[in-house]
Amino acid sequence: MSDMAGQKQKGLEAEHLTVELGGTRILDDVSFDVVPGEVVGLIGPNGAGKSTLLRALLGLVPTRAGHVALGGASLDTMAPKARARLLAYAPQGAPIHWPLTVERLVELGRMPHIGPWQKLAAEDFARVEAALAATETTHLRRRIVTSLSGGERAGVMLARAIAVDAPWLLADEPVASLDPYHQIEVMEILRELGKTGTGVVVVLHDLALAMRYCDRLVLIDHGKVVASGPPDKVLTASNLQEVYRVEVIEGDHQGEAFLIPWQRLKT
Amino acid sequence: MTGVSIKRGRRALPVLLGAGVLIIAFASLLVGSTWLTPGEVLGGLFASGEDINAIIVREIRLPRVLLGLMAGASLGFSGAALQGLLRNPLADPGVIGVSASAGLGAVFAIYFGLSSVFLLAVPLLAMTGALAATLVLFVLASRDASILTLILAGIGINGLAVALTSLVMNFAPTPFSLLDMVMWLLGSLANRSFTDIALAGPFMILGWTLMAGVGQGLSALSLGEETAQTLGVDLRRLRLQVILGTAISVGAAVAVCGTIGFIGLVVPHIMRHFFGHDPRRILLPSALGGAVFLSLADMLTRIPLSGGELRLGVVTAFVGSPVFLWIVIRTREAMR
Repeated sequence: MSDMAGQKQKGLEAEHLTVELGGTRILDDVSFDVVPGEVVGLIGPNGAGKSTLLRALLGLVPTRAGHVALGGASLDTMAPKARARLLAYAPQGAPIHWPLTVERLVELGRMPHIGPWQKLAAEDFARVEAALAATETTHLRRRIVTSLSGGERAGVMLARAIAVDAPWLLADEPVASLDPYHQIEVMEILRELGKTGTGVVVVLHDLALAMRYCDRLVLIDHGKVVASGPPDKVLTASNLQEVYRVEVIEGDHQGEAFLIPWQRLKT
Repeated sequence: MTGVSIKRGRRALPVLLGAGVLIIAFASLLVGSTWLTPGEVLGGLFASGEDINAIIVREIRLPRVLLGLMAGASLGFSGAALQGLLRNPLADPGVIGVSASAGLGAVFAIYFGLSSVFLLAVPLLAMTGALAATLVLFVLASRDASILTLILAGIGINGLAVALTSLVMNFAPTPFSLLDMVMWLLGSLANRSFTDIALAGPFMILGWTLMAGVGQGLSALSLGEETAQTLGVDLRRLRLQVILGTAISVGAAVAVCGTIGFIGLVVPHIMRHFFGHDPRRILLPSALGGAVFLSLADMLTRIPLSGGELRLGVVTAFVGSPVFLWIVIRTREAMR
């Protein structure tokens, strides 16, 4: 912990990000950082700007002000492929336009590492295998992606992002519309990635999962950071009442705190 | 599982297609109004003499065969690239309006009787039409226009070109020039010479070169534009490469061969059947397949008929549309 300042230098940092889309201010002076090995949860109500923040970090939306830096180097000046090797993205509900096999789809994650005429090398295939193994989707490799169930598909899409083998992974609601088994599986995978040094930013709606699996939470509302810090400091009753307008039930299971959103607050 | 045998088959298929191109090209050299044996064709090709066989093979049949291969490859390649870019199996080089614009140029040349003054007036004006349409598309694509904007612009260009073509035909000075226009629009490789190749060839090759490196980007686009960008794809560049490459190569092909439909649409579908749906893996096969398809169609047009010459565009549409229907019915499950 003594070299916290040095770690921050190596981190993914957004400073004073302001994004306007169609004349509406979506992000308003947002500053935010992740260090290697940290799993950071982005939480907030619908329309708060979580996905936009993720897309701004990736350079997918034009920023009106502020900038994103990686290890002190600005992302705007980076070549697309160099940036692609550093930041992996698992989008929410991404389309799959052709009926590809799972194997081919996950192999696309290796694209940032090879030239336009190059074929995948042994190293690339090893990464693909590792990504399939990490998401427990190896047995699906010959299946056609469009024929998979929601849970299987989520695993495969995550495998594709993991195959990039980038030091940073940004996942937009990876557990949306998954059953509890697959939700917990995805969160465990993300935490495992964190343990191996990957910096993970994950957009979440499930507060119970956010509390259990994230090292740090960033609560966003109306395009601004409302709170940032350890889960128990962010998911306070007052924050939840003000931002989410719900009342929660808090509990304790074998020493781990949990919470369940219980009822809307009447205003 | 059949996985292994499929893989082995897929690896052999490009080689088979390449061999197919050579066989079809040679067969195509054999077909014509004068019967030549395979030996005479080979002799005519490679012997140093200037006998009648050499003239028939080298001056009449060879340019026609080469042009057919090149035009077919342009249409097949462009079709596969465009379908990959638009992520739509129904895209066809025709949708971006370049073919129709080339047709307009040709019809103009015939209307003003330029073709009787200057032999290359038709292909040159057709090329000008195609390039004008290309320029509009280029301006749009380099302004970061969305795919939808490009397609709608293509439909607009297409509609305008077709309307102007109809207008010109409406006021055709003589029934003969009207017939010339219709015949040109139906497509043909008859009586093409090395001059036509010299005119259109460089543009076709330029178009192929532009599209040569797009495979990976098109594969990444299977996951949508945003994910493709996060994989390092420069979307604007990719769009420019595919749209310009298609416009230039197809424009040049249409300028010397007339409007030939269905190859750009059908050939990638057939190739998907053998090589899978990964856009990158069907680019080269579609180019080779397009060359084979157009050459076969051209051989059919050389069947002597009492009513005159069968036109190339008619044959490709006749063969292409049933094949297309068959594929749509067979693959509707997979595309769902």
